Amino acid sequence: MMPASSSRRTAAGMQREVDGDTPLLWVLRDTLGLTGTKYGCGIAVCGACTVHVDGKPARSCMLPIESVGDAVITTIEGLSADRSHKVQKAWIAENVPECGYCQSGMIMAAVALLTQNKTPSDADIDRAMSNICRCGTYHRVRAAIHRAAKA
Amino acid sequence: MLPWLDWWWKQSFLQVRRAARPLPRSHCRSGFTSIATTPSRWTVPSVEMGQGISTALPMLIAEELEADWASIRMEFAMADRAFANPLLRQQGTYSSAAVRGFFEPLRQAGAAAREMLRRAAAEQWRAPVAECEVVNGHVTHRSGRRSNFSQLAEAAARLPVAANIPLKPRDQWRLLDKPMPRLDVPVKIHGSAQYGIDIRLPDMLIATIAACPVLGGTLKSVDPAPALAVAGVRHVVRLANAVAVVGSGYWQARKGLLALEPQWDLGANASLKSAEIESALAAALQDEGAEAEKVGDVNLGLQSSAQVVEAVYSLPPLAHAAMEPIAATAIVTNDRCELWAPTQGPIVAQLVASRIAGLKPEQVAVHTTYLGGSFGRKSDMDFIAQVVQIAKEVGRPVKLVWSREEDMQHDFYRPPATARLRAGLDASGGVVAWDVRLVSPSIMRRMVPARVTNGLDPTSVEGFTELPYAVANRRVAYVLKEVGVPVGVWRSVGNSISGFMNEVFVDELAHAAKQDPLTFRRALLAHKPRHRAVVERLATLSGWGQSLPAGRHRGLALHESFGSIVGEVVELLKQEAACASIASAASSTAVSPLIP
Repeated sequence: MMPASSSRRTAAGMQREVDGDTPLLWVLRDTLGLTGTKYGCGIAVCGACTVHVDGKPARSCMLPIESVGDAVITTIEGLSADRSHKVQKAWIAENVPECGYCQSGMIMAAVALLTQNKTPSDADIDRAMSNICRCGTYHRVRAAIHRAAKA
Repeated sequence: MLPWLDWWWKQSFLQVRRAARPLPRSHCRSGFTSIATTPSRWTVPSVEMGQGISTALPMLIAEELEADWASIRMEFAMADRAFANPLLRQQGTYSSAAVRGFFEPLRQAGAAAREMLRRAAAEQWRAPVAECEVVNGHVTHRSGRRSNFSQLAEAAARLPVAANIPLKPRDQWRLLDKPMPRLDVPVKIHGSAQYGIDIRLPDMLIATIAACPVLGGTLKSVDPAPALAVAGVRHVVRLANAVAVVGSGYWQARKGLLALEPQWDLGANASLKSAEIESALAAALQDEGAEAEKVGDVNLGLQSSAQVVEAVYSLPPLAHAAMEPIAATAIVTNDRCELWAPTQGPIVAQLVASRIAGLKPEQVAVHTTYLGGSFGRKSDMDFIAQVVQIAKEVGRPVKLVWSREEDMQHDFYRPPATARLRAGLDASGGVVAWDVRLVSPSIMRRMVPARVTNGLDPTSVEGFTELPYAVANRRVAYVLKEVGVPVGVWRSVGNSISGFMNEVFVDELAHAAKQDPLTFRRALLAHKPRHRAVVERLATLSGWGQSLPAGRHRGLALHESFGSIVGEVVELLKQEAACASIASAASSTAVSPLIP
């Protein structure tokens, strides 16, 4: 089963064989070498593995590759070639990351939120953003989402 | 080939002044900053686990050096004694010591380099040194002459090292008193920051591991066949207390591991239960313990007080639970070991790796990656020993990745702690006696046994001793009680335990004295201007004293550790019977003043 991907890194059309039950997360990281998407829990609780599947957020650690089919996958590497996505720019302006390990998933979740809701309220952000951050950057994540919404 | 500007080696005389013995000249002779190239390469001597030192430490040099902040390429030092933290006398990141340890030496190094560059330009231009200005990575002269640092580097390197350069006064800081954009943010929002778990090497296999679920247990036997039958699995490696499965990817290795049925000898802790741990700690409260601090006469103070308040607090073991699970990568050959690890202790990692690999430390190269959080966990070397052992057996590069479950189960937890606090109040609500007896296992007994003297582990009682509140009679005693739980350093070590217990107890005293908790603290901190300043700022920020809507409650706490005082006020919104959410929080920090 070959995963389709909109990430620039695989635009050249890699082809690999993997077991169908392999979660998308490990296909991305180990098979395709895209390590931007992170392993945090393996049970879809922490959100570090969040990618977009046909534009919608999904936790890739529990998504078997055989269920992905021809869906377009976007990873953190594929958001922009040069950090120019408005959410990435907001993340830089607000100095959001600390250790940064959760941030790939956090950003992908934020992008998905803003795609679906252009001007989220604080309550909307609370509801949509369930990614875990052990460093406690939540207040800056919130500020960056509001900033990106205005951009 | 442009030379390295080997600041740290050339300025080893500064280290001799500070250290007990001169640091050996390192085999890796690059200094903190190489400005032979543009962008300049900046080597950060401490590790980045979110605390921001990969920005703060370059800032220290850049401020004095007058570097162009926009053209810095930051990287992490390999294991190399030259990068020892002067405060710790070791290359390691722990004890909240990175900025404190490097604050003066890095600024001095930057200032010395600046003066050497200025002089090199002056000599080249045959202009007076005083007429040459250094700003933003350039030296300029009013005649219009201008050179950037890399153009002057070679000439500057030949000059004698400048010494005793006065450092900039605070009011001339360009960088140090501003929140600077972090140097690591661009890679962290783009997926390109390399954490320990992200290393990829040619020919690399990936391993995952299960250690004996009981501390002290060993592996009796395991039939590797079920793992080897899984597609992609290549090896099953037995360690003394664990079994690892090695394959083409994490998923394959994990499937192989789950297929195994290892037979464990659970050892002495086989029947240990949480209830036993709790009751063992509680029972040990009857012991007198080792005296950590004695001021005045606590017994007399308690006897003469109008009211005695007593409480027993109990905290369970606490896992670090960093977002990045334990991982590291190693290559081991007959004469070389190369290690990539998210480690807080590169030199210790080098030593451990050399012992496991049967090599000399000089034969071990250690790269430090970004750490996806650590909070002290990654200063332990268990996983380093594992990956080196596995790589040695497998004979190929191996990346070891722990599952989240393994990470939580095989932590070195913040020690479980039980303490009895007792205080005596006089008739007007002053505190005349404060008595603490703490029971917990000892971290240092495992990590640095020499620090435990006469049954006292100083890290266990930190924050209990030197209580800032004005109390004439004080005693702190420590009962070292091992309970079978592996314990380690958890960010701030003893302070998150003492901070919690002290501050909850102060609230109890305020309540007993029928006083507002902030007013109560303020009176007890009359002699502590820095603490009082934090309290006053908290009062202002939080609107303390203003009435709250129904269902909202407010509390505060403050604690000093490693020279900084942090205070917080939290407003709780009571929702259901046993549920509350934080409505808002105000925080005030007084950071240790490094410049008087």
